[in-house]
Amino acid sequence: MNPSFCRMRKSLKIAIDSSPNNDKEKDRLSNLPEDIVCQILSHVDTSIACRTSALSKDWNRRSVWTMLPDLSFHYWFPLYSPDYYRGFNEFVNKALDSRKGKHIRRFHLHFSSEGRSFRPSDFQKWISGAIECAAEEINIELNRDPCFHQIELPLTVFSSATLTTLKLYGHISIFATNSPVWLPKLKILDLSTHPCQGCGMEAERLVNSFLSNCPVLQEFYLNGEWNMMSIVRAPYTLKKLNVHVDSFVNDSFEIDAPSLEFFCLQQSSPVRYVIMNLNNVVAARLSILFEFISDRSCLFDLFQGLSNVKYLYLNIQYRELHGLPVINKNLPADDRDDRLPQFPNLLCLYFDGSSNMDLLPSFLQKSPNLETFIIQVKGPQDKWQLNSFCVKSPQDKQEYAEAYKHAWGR
Amino acid sequence: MGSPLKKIMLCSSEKEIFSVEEQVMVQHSVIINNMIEDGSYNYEESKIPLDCVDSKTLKKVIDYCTYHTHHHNDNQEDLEAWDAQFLNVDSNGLYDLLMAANYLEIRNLLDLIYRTIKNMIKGKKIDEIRRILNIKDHGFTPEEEEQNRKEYPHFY
Repeated sequence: MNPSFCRMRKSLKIAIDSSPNNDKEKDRLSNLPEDIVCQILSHVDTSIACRTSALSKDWNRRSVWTMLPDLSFHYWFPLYSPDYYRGFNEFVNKALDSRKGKHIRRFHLHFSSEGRSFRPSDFQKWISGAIECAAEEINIELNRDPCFHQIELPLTVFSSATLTTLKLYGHISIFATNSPVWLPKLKILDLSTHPCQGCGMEAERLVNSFLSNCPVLQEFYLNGEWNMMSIVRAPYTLKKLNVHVDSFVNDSFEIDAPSLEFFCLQQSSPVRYVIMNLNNVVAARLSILFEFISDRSCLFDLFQGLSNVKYLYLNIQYRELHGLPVINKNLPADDRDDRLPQFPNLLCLYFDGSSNMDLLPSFLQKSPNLETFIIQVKGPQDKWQLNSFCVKSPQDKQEYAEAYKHAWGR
Repeated sequence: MGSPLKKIMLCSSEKEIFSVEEQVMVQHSVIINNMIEDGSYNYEESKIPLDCVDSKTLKKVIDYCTYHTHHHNDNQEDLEAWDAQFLNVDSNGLYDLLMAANYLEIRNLLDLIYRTIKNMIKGKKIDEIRRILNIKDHGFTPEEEEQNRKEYPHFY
């Protein structure tokens, strides 16, 4: 018999077993097949999944919620409440206990509260518990009053043999560890934490230690003003990189990522770029703010390094000393047209609404295969809207470049 | 993918025959897609028997697949509004749809139902969930129920 009929028979059997006609008296909930129940409950918080065990005795006996490989906890209680916190703590521990000996697929913890009712040691116990259950994905968001110290992660996180995804947001410190990082399966790393002031060199060492000790890392997100970052050396597996840095202190930003395909950079006042290898980048998103117009010549080094892109999003802004934005007209006539490289593969160019657009005509000239450019403009009631232009033919490009020059009087 | 004009026959538990554009079902149902692909469906003779899906539910499932095949380019909001209207059924109807979608492996319909059930029970007290899911006899003895209430006061 052919395979799909076999499969059909099998699922038919399940369906008939649990069809209402067989057992009219029993509630239909208790008759749902296990995999469906797990699917439904994996969409809700662990506390809600657990709550269902009080619905009916049949259901309680199955205690389906303890079979779920995904645990997700949300604590949102802005006021100081030791009782509520105690209940939460007990529940997390109970849920982790129920997974002992089985594994955890995803562990989500979202904690928002003022700081007093929260004990760092509990937090570390939860995370250690998840790591002991061989968690594959850990996702933690911790928001509390900034006057409290940042919470440190247990060291076992940094040497987990099972983690494939690690996402950290908010008041979590990863600086305590001097112990070596080794995460052989980690594919996605998101450090959207706030590195504390004064740990600059440390931050850079730590980030690069992640990059060199996660041999299969594919995606790396670094958000939240990592001020002192100046060198990023990515492993050969890295495909996506998202960096948000402010380089008020450093004067150069160096990046080497040979396999990178998606690159997103948000940066203030860069002075110098050293692009070692970004030849494989397909899509790039650059949001860069210059304090001094004179600094912006470094931008051309960045463009040079990214000249193979197909999709490019730009938000380039200049500010004068007193912080006022520079409008398009007053730009010094420098040698930009010559310094902008050719973009032979560029298909789509997108300018953010707040971006300075002085480079647009040059881009139109240097991108022979450009098909679309999109400009965000303010429409009625100050709502942002997108204006998209098709520029397939060379005449189109010429026309838009002229119209642009005319409009801005240059 | 079959040609858009071909029809296939689906047979409900009441033995009612529904004729549907092949492409509509192939796009949505993993099971039917497999049957067409491996050639186990004979256009002249075959009817796909769906013994655990009644006519009313089958009609709804076909409506869902048809709408989503022809309107997949609509904007997200319109589709969501249509989905919400589509799933505006009682809990029995929802069970039937869930079983049918599971049987035919219609992934996006399954997901939609999961999300709907999630929203039905999210943030609700036990008694409310019992009412919503139509659980008349919960089977706990009064003592056990009392014990539960003591142990998890915030569930009730």
